[in-house]
Amino acid sequence: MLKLNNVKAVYSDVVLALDNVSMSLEPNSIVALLGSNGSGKSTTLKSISGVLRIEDGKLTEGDIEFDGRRIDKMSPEQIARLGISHVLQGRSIFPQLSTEENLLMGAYLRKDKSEIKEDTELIYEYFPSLVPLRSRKSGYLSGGEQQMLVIGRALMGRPKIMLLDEPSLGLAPGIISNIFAIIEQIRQKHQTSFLIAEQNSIVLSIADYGYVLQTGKIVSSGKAENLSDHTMVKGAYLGLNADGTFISHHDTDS
Amino acid sequence: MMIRGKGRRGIDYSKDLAILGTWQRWTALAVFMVVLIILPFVLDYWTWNTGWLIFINSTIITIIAVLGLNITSGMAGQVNLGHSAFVMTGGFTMAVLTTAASWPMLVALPVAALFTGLVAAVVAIPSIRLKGFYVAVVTMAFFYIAQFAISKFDITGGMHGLTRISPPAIGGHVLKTSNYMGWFYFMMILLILCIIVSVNIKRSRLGRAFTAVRDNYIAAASLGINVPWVKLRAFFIGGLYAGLAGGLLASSISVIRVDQFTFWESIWYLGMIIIGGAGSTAGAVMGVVFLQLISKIMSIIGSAGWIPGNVSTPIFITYIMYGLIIILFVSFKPNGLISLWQKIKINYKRWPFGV
Repeated sequence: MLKLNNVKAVYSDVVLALDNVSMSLEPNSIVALLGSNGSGKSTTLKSISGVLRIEDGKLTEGDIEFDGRRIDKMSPEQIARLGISHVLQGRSIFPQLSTEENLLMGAYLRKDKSEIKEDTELIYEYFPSLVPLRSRKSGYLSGGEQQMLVIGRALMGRPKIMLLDEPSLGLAPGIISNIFAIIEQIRQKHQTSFLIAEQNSIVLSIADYGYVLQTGKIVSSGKAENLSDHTMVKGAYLGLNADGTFISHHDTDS
Repeated sequence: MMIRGKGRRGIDYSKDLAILGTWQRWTALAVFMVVLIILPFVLDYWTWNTGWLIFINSTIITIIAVLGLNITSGMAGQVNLGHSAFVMTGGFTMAVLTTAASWPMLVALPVAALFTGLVAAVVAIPSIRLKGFYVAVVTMAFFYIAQFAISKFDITGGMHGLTRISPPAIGGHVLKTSNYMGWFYFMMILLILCIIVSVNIKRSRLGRAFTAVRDNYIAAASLGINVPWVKLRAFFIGGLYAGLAGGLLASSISVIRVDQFTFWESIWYLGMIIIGGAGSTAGAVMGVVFLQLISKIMSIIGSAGWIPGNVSTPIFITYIMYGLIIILFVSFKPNGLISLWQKIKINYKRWPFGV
């Protein structure tokens, strides 16, 4: 469905952010993209959605294919029209628009008014805590509510692929679990594929496959259950020893 | 008996969105319309001169211009420092069409507005893919280019401008320049239409796209919004309004010259939006009325001889006050007068509990 082939991405013609990255996303699957800060997770998602060029970045090598069609030269709006929806890092709401208006922006490319209305109600079924906040300006919502809103907004476009950039950032554990459970629900009901860039290990609990990025390169990949057992992944990203216990500062001091 | 709101229980979303959803609001609108209709007669009876009517007519033209800038800059976030050049473009287009081409005013006016909208869109093209202050620089440059170009062409009258611009005529009845009351009603109808269009734009899919591009253009692009195209449309619509204002100005006073339009007007227009509340139609109207009243008060004080200095001193003091007021609002009330008004309404509904 989605393939990155030996992609190299740079910012401002100077900063190498991705180096020879190849990965794929199959239909109706959830793929996790793990990595610490600066590893290239966000850049990978931006390369796919076309947002990279808006931020003075570009692909210097390689290509990206979606359903057999090259998309690396397309604009973000063209890529969105193909069915790829990108939820940016940091809850990219439109703060001066209400909750409902934010959701309607997700359906900007659609003309089917009655189905847009039905989908809006469906989003409120997934996220019932947004119902009393319909007419409230989204800038006044809590972090968790905003994150639900941006996921709901992305879903309004009926995408084939959703790119989520650190959806758990700054959220309480209970809310994170709730959001990932809803992502799994959405995958099952709408056959939407997800590529989720995360530092949080919980993503592996719903992912089918995963890639580990380090300084712009893929250093490991595999099925999610195998990845969570990988010693390097455990130590570097999950904070776990080989036996599954948490690394303490005494271990790192020695 | 005082009319008080009793809270908003049991309201569904569609009722919540309605602008005139309650009988109190319909009543307020009806009262306001009656006041508007009788206002010129009241002013004529009380003041025995046309000064206030001239002032109100000038304010209406300014409101129309600023409503356009509110769409471009307030709603869509594009800083336009050349808006007075667009008003000038509209005025001169009107003047040329009615003098050189002898078009009727009521045909020339919409054409002038449309032409100005297209000019505004073309001016915006170099900067729509850029971010930051580039739009401001391009529009500022356009102001000086337009002023220079218009002052050089014979068809626009060069430095002397154009006179004898046709007033509107319906069925042989001509609205003369000296008929200030007639101009008031004519321009008020256009103003009400402009306000209705502006409010509906904000509530429409396009208006939401404007806000999205202003608030977070990257997120807007990721949702499939063609950001450069949205910016172009913001400039086009803002230019339409400016062209309409310029056409009305030229026709209402039957003369237009390049030196009537200064760069500072663009700054004051932006200031009016800030003072009223950027992005809000009601805020734009409030901002214009507020600064225009300051100007009028200074003019009255100056005429009464209460300000030492020469004839220009009240004007200089007015500009100083404009600047100070803008700075104060940016520093202490960046959301403008409209936010104060909303706070008053909320406090009134919740009294005695307050916010």
